[in-house]
Amino acid sequence: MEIFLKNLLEENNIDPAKIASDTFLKLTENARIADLSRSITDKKKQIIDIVNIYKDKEEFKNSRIVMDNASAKKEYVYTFDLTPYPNIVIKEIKNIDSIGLNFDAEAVSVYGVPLLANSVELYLSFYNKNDENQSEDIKTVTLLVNADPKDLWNNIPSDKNLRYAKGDMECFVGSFLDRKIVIASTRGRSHAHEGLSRDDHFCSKDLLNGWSIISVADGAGSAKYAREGSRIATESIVELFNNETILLELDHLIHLYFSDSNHEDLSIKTDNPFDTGEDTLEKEKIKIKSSIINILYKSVRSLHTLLSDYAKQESISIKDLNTTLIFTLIKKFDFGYAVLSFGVGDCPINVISKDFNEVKLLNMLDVGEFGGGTRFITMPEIFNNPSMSSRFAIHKFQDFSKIFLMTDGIYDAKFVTENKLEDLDTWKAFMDDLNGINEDQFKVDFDNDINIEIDLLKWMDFWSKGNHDDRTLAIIY
Amino acid sequence: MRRLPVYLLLDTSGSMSGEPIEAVKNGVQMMMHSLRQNPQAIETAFVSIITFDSDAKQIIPLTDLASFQMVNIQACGVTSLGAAMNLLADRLNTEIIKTTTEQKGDWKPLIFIMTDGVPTDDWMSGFNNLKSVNKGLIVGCAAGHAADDSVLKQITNSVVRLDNADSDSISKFFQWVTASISTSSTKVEESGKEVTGLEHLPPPPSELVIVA
Repeated sequence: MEIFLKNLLEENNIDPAKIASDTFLKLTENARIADLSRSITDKKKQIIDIVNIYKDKEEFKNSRIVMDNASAKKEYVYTFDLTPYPNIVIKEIKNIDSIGLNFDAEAVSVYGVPLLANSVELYLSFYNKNDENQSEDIKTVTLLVNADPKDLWNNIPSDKNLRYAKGDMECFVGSFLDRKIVIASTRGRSHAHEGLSRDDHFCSKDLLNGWSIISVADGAGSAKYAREGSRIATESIVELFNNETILLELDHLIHLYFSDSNHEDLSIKTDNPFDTGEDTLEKEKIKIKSSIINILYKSVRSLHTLLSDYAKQESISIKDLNTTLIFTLIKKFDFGYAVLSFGVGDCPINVISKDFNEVKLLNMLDVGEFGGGTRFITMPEIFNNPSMSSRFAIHKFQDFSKIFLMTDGIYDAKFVTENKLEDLDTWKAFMDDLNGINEDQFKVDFDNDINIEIDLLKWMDFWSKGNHDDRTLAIIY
Repeated sequence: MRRLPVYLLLDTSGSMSGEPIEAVKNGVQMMMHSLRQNPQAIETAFVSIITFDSDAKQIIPLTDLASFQMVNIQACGVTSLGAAMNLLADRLNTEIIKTTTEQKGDWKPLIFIMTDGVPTDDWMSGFNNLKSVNKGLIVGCAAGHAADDSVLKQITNSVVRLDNADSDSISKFFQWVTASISTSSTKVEESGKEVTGLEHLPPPPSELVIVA
């Protein structure tokens, strides 16, 4: 009170020292003055309150608010943090429904599923809660809505007048020995996006003498005419084995090889070719095996020659036809199924046991640490490499549930790494996936298989981030 | 999913203030906007920004394009390129996923270093550190007259030069970086091969001169 009075007197050029202390005391005790001074302090505070209301609003308006980015078609929630601005109330966001989102004023949250990719300026209508008029102001905040990556992919048909043009997708269902086979092959999104061709190919056929064959190839992305390389490789290897002399000889050797054998499964990989044991039977087996491998080798060698002749005839480089190749040649004997296989490149052949408690990868895969280790059937050097013999395998299965051949477009997405190709749990999950436990609930129905090839085509359109390569999957069931 | 890590090392020393730094900010924004339209890049490319002036800071850790948000940058101080390379070496060690039998690791990183001056610290020790961990391609960009490309040439065989550090040239540089990231993300996805030199990147615009 005293200070108030002194300040007031000084403001009016009256020196408080010149007022008798008695008088000053009376003034400080004057009820009317006390009243008036209280009311002045009060008014001042009211002014300051108004100042603060403006100041709070100004600070909020100029603050940098960074909302998390949203994605089209995906659930979005963002809560504004108003702790630094305790007096600010966001009443509404003017244009929020134009992008398909909602605003919950109580929770100060933006939520919902934005529909379109866009960068939007949101108009936040806010007021200061100390302002009895609740006069509103607008703050703009930018919200980025990313596109759904699925919407960014084009699907441009490949040019049908292109040299070696082929269909963008193909499927097949047919008999295979006493079983059936379903195959589908589709162009990857990355090819579809640019209107490029499918580089994968497959070929399956029931041959003479009860043999059947299925071949799958993945043309190299870097090769100019990979689409043609994969076609020739798969179709030619089938024709090379459609030869009675070869098949009769194989019949004979397989009989010898598996007769009196109690081994459920003999494979070149598990035998040591340098074994000089006394067992002549064992030696004899190795000799027979060599003869079988030799027959397979000759056919693969002929395929290479055929590809190289074709390249010459077409005046292109054999590298332009670079392609991987896997095939399996199978016949049912009285002892079970004899499964002969070959692989170059990174596509697997897998056999699933009847009771689904065992899975076998038949071929070795050519994979490098950074994916650069792929080999092609078109490379002459694979034939001189000591690892050539391990590309072939001879197996016997009393029975099996399914046999799978696939390109990396399938297994990169579904198995991720090569070592999962022999992991039973991953295979079980893969089977569940084929049975409809997937995002789209697309099921490949092996029991009611009237439209199984269409089922498989649909299933193969699955979405997998970063995996948009051509996809080919063959299933013997 | 295998990521394509992209590291941008940007010079924010005092000489960059004004038009150049504004152009860099715009360049990054335009780059992100454009890459977000590319389906391969939006799934594959991850971007980090390290700025260097008197000190080096990773202002954006390795982030996917969809959640990327640019932060404000200011130009002041000197040119600690060595500190920036040290920091990058450290980030490569911690942020890049290595290939194991259980998972496929990231693709080799793509690194762009843009500077308008001469390093003021011990860049050699930073570079030695970086060399020991980096497997990816480093592209150096000397921006403007004052930029010394001789240091960049010792750091990498892929060096480009911008004769002017004006907004137009810097914007062209970022357009080229954008195209390079697009090309790389497409290439890794389609052929499984990484880019290893300038010859694998799109041809630079006329404002950019290849000097090494």
